[in-house]
Amino acid sequence: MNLPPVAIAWFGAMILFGVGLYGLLVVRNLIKLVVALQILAKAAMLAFVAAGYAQQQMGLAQSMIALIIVADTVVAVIALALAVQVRRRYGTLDVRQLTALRG
Amino acid sequence: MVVHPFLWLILIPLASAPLVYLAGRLGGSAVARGLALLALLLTGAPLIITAQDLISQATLTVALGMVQLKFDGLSLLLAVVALGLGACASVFSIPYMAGELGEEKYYAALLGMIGFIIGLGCAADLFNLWVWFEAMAVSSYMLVAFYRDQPASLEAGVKYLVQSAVGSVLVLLGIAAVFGETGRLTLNHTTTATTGLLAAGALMTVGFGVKAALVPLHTWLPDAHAQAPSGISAMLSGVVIEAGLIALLRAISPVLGEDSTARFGQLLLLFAVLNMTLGNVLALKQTQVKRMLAFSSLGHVGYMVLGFGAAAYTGQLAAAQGSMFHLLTHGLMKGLAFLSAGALLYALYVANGTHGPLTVQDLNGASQRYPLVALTLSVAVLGLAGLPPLAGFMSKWQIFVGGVQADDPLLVVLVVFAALNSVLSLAYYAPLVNALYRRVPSEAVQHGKAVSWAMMAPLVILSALVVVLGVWPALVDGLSGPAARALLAGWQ
Amino acid sequence: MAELVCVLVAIICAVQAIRAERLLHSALWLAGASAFIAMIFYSMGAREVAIIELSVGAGLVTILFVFAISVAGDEHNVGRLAVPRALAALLAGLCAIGLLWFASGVVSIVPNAPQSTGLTQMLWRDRALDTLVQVALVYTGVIGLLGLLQAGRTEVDVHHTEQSEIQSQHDATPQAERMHG
Repeated sequence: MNLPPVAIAWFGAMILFGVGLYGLLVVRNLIKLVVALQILAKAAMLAFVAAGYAQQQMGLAQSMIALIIVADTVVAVIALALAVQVRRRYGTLDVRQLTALRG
Repeated sequence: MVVHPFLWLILIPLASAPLVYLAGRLGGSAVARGLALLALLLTGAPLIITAQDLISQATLTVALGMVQLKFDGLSLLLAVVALGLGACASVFSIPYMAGELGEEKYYAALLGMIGFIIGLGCAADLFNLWVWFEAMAVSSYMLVAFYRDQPASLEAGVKYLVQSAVGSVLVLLGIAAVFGETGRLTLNHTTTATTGLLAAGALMTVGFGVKAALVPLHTWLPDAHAQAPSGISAMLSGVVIEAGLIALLRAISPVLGEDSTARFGQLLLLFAVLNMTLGNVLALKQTQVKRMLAFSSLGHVGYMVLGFGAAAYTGQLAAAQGSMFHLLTHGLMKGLAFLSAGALLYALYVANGTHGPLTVQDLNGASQRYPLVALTLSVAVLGLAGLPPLAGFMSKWQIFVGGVQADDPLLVVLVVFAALNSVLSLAYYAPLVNALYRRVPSEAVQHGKAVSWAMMAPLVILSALVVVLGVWPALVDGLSGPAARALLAGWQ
Repeated sequence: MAELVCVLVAIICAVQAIRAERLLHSALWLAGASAFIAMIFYSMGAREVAIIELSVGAGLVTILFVFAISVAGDEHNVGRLAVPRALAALLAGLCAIGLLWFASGVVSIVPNAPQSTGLTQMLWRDRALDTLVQVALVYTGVIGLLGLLQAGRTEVDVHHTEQSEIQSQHDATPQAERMHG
């Protein structure tokens, strides 16, 4: 079997997306939730590489991926800061114990 | 490069955001407040110039490298709402946020958010649109969780951040699919529909739909809108979810082929039904004022999506114009409602040094101590319910008329359904007004503090606008008409 | 072939990052996934961005995670999950397969050879607008971070409640009534 690189990257992106989604659904720890978000973002980057390769516009794809990496790191930083604050106020990182808001 | 005036519209808020922060650190929060207000005031000038330029030209374009910024009717509408409501929220926040730790960061992030929203309206490139969208989200995370020593507000922040981040990844996958299929990123070009583009459309609908609070992607909204500081609640409900909706409607254009526009319209109509039903039914159950208003936002997104859906489904301009008008009036009314509720929350709780949710019972007899705030809150919620002399009636009416004009049985049924929903919404708005005008004041009202003039001023301005637009809706035809035309032009 | 190996290893790392019990292990597995994704980037012609991914994704982000874990403490939360694992796997699998099915059109395009254009030119000239907005995004993010991390007014009081909450962590019902509007 000889899969072209585009297919490998594209399928890889979709599978990584599935893994990240699974993580979001089962994970209870706030920091691990951020790990799952990071995996999802990696899937998006991989999808852009596949798309750029397929269209032979790797320069364009690269510039977009670079911006995604930066934006995503900023989001991860803010999410981790939130997690640290949650730990301070709730005494736990368990998402299921964040139950102040219902209804 | 020629710097067109409309660039200043984006540059001034964005450039002043770090300045406000620095000024606040060096010179104290009073300097930060003053500078933030000055920046918003200055941004008004390019807005007026751009609006005048737009009379003679349909779009103003600036290109930087291969990416363009296009300022059209829709950008103008979004800029007017973002800047107008942003200015009101900032003035309101001066007494409301006074003495909070990190005030300068509050104003800096708020300015940044306004700038990003205006920029989002101008994006003419799919990826550029995402960058604006993500920047808007990043600037709002801290604002939602601003009361970082309150567990409830942290929880709202976590929910908001996680769901927004997932939405943003879905949008990215959608963009990657469009890029991989067509090799182009520009908005407004025609394509033939393929399964890849269909998947891209679905991904972007879900991704932007999280921010636009399309049911069932709305679960973050009531928490975030209720827990944020009141000025931010007004911005989130009045502008940010609408910006998400506009982003969706714009981003979907490169995906829509000749026949798929109608199918996308049907999908929007489905979301409209879900949003109206769930928003209004859940709002009925709420006892906290801000939570109720947050749920009512879901219903109002439903009305807007109904108009846009009808426009996509039949190509009717009138329905889209009605939705644009509703976007404007909802921004005014919901902003006014959140700010009025915030004024009462401040007077009854925050000024007394206590933190508590403002419940409907707390409002009992508020009109006796706070006649003006009670009046503005009544104007806001009655406008939202769609009572005749107010703006909400006129904008809903335009959507309904636009829907019926298309002469499609499905749309007629949906319009009747929406009208019934509008009547149903009175069931939770009316008790609110009723409570305000009760004879016996609640305990909270008896111990309430005074509301300062800086809080009243934006309330008076917004309620005057709600009344004026209700009596004279043609006043903003020049705003909603070009906006609807700009949107539909992208779908051709 | 190199791409296939890298993708598989990256996926395994990602799965391990989700499954790992300790947060620190989770962060390290994520760094591994990031490194292998960077290799795919490299072998597909995205050279510059591979370096960025390696330094930011595998390096900086891992440091941030380790820092956050050291501040917040490594705890692993067991017990009943909101969504059963099997259902979650099924949902995630269906989403991934659905996407594969719909978006497989992309892979039918067969290019000749990878080509790498200068990233710096792209970022600073052709797509300068994206980069400029990104700069604004980063400083707004930094302001947000400072705002979130700033110690609250009730810090002393909170330390006290934190202590008591750790002691009774199992039946802790955090200050639900202290809601703010």
